[in-house]
Amino acid sequence: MIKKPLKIVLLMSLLLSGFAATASTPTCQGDDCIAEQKLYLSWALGYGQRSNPLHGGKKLNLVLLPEIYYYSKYWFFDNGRLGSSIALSDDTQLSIIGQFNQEKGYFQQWFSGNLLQFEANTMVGPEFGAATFRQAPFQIAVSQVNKRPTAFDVGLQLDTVRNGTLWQLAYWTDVSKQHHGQYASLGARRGWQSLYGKWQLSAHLHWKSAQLIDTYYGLTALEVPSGQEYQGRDSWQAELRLNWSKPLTERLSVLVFLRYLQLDSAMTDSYLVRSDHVTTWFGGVSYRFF
Amino acid sequence: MRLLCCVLALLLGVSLSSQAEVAAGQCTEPLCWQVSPTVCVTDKLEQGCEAALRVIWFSDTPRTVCLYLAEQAERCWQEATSGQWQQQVNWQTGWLSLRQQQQVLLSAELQVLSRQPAKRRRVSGAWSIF
Repeated sequence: MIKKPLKIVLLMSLLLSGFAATASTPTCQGDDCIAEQKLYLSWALGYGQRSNPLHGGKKLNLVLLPEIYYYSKYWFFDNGRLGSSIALSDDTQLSIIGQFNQEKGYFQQWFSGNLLQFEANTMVGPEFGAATFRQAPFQIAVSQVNKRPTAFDVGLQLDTVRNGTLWQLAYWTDVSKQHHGQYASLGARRGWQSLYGKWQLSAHLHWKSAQLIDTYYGLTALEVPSGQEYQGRDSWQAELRLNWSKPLTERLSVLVFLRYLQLDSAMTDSYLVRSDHVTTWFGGVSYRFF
Repeated sequence: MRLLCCVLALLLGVSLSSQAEVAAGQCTEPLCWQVSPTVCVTDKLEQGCEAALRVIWFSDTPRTVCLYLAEQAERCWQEATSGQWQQQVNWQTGWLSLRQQQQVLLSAELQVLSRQPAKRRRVSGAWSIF
């Protein structure tokens, strides 16, 4: 029996595939506006870190970062996301997208965006934001719990531009039957250019279902001693991201980005979780091959 | 993509001009014509496209016909068995037609192609995987 959210996504995917051939492409401006049938490949070399909110979880050293995306008339690949879009109007587009669930990245080093990166055992990077670490009576390390599953999610994303700001609404569900959950996000992204370079600021609010949180951060009696179990609940997480780049030559740019993800008690109540936030920062130079 | 457009335009041009040479003496239908070219290539679609459009028609019986471009009569012939028209035209994608008292006898689609590939909005933000 297919669950209702999955049914809706599958139905929308059929509609999208039917309309994709006739839909016109929406008008766009700025760095978000790209050419079809062109491979965009860039590498960034520098240094940065992504923190790990889990006990025993390794920070991720960011050194050599790839960015790759290709959009054809009917489908696209964009940094690990595969999908198809239709234009609903000049300002609005609807996409069906498939991607691996990113929660696994805190448990396993070699996963998705973690590729090509290195685990940080001793190096300590700067933390931005108010660092709040849980003083829990118990601590459960990643190594003490069962392996968490790799899940593949499919979702619908609505993008619409209003007064130069891109608004995004997305809803995802697990099609691999691993976490059996859903998640959604609502956010905005705005880019601008100044004498000091190109800027892109985005803010998102994420909702993650109890099933998803329970699969990755729940603790069962089989994994932990009695009294330390945890049953996941719906989680609300806020994310802020700032990108800055300044071209040095036609292909070479200086690049800095910062990301802050605030975790709520639905995650931090798990004895697996030691921090109420995840920070990512990177500084370096990028070279584009297009 | 740019190369493809140029090759396409070149091929269409060659194809149409050879048809015109052959058709001038070998029109086997009661009414035939040559329209050249049927594609105009521009850098950007919004810039429009300006190029010379040439039409030659032949008929086995005298006809009173008018040539219409985008629903506007450009030239009419009275009881003629052939006609020729050439003009610099600001192209818009549309139809060219040869009509007899509003009845469309022949028609051809005129297309404007861009050398630049279609643009679209990116779904993800820059470096968003990290």
